[in-house]
Amino acid sequence: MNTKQKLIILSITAATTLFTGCANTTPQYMGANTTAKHQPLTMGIDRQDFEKAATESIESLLRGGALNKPGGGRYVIMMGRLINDTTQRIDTDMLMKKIRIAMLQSGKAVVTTAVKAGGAEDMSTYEVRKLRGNSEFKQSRIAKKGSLIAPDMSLGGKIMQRTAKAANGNQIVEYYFQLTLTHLETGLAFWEGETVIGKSGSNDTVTW
Amino acid sequence: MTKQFIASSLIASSLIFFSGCAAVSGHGGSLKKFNDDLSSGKCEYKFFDEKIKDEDDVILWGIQGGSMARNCLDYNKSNELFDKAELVYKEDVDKDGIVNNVGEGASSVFVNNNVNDYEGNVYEKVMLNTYKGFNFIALNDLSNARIEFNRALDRQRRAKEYFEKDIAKKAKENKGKKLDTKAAAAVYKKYGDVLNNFKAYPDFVNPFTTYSSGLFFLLDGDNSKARDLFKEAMLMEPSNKQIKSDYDLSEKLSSSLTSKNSKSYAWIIYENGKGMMEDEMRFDIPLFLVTSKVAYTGIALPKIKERAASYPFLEVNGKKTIMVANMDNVIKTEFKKKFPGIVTEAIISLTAKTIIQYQAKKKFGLFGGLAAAAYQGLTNKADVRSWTALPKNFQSVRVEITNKPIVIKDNNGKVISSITIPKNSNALIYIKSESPGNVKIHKTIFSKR
Repeated sequence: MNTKQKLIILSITAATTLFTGCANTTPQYMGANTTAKHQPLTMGIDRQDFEKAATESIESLLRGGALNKPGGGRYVIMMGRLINDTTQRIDTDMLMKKIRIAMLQSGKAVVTTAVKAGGAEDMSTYEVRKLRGNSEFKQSRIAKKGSLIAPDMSLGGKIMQRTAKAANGNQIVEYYFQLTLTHLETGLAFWEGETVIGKSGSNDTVTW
Repeated sequence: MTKQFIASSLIASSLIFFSGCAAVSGHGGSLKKFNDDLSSGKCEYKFFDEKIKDEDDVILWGIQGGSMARNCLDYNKSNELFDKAELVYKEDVDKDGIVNNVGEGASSVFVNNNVNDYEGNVYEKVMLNTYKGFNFIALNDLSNARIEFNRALDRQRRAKEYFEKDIAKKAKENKGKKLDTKAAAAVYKKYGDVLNNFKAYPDFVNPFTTYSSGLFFLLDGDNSKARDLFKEAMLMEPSNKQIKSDYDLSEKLSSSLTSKNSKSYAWIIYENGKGMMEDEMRFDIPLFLVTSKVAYTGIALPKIKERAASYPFLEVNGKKTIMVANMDNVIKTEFKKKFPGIVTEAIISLTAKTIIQYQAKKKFGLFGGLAAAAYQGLTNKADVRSWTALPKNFQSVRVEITNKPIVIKDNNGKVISSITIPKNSNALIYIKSESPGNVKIHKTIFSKR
């Protein structure tokens, strides 16, 4: 179909829509989220959703006292597997980074980048050790064996999605941000948090 | 008289000119060429890239090109082409519904549906995400594979409500139009064999998507989600031994203390033969028009036809593959559901063109009538577009991985491939065979989760 034909069709469709009117199907938050400053732009997960999930998780984590180490000091946390079980191509770091920053700022925990589910986040820790025995480098400045700190806890979780059609013909989508902080020595979950974000909008197309 | 003839001819030819060649030639030729290229193992994507760049049937050539690239084990290219098609589904087609929009409706009536962009079938949307899932598996990108299988499942969920909504909308739209019921009856008589005598899947599901999603989640260590999906697939195919066996495994793993199985397995998915495709069918139907006199007029409609299978089954370490989904039946189910709409549209088009022809003859005489008849004849062309790279059916079998290689044989015992998998891993071996001798193998090793 060429541009001319498309233009004609477009104008006819626009005119038809204008005269028939249409229901308000722009995405809206549901439930407790109705007080949000801005209404969502999409039915997918957007920046505002990540911020809300991160803020709620951090508040709950710090309030709950899971990071208060008996006798003082800081816990070492490793990043576990965060499964994106939705239909959206999202970077889960958008959520995790905010939580990591808050944990560091609280002074109660540090995050290791040398141990991570799926491989170290920063390979530099291991790369510098390869310089042992290299006469070009001052050996006293190279990390000694036994200096890496193993993590005390692991932070992992899942982002889930449930989609359904509502009675009014709209589409409802709910995102569940579920996080767990596991104490690695005992295998016990010291903290768990869940943030649910619900949106309602047009059912014309898919949520991604 | 000559002047009038020229005028009418000009109108007719300009209508065809502005509608493009597809109005007269249809798409049969380009589809045949694609099918031949796919069978011969061609791996060139220039044609698809150009079609997409020109926004000329992006969905059709995105899905066909995506299949070709997948066959060539070029998974990134395949996903790139599939993504282009998915974007149009999402931005245009989903919002349209199966009912043509205003402009498309007029084109269908006064020219034919070939001039409109291809909008695809609902099962094609589901299969698109399923294939993207398998492409990401082959690329060892399990995070993105998970997203695609979730999308395929969501597409499937939407399928039912989509049909309920759109068929009702279409029926409502056609209600006010005067339809020749005798003409419609003549059409249905010719389609008895296609529309009946098969097992329709309920609610437009494709058990393959549900089953293969279950398999993916099992291989990714999400045993309870896998169990739920296998359970759902079992409801679609209650007596299927392979689905039952995989359900039992997922059930065992979800209820055991460790999610890892001490045994390692390889799943062999076999995509058999060529799925049903559309072909044009022409025949005469009676039309009662402006006069009480019956006029037999030729109608061109799409009809789905079966194509050949490849090996009836594969034998893997002595175990035969079992059919988990009949794609032909998925295609037939949807064709049957959409058929009343196609017939109505074709008869309305035929009636309109015949009335124009009658009026042209009345107003411009014999030559006017001839020009209108020529126009009608030229534009009497069925829309036969569909995703022709889909198979006839999907089969599966699971074998335990031992120190010995996995030997895959055809139904006559001839070895197709022998594959060695490291003992402590699981594996997915995906085999597509359009015809005997034409075999493509995709292999992915999974570390146990």
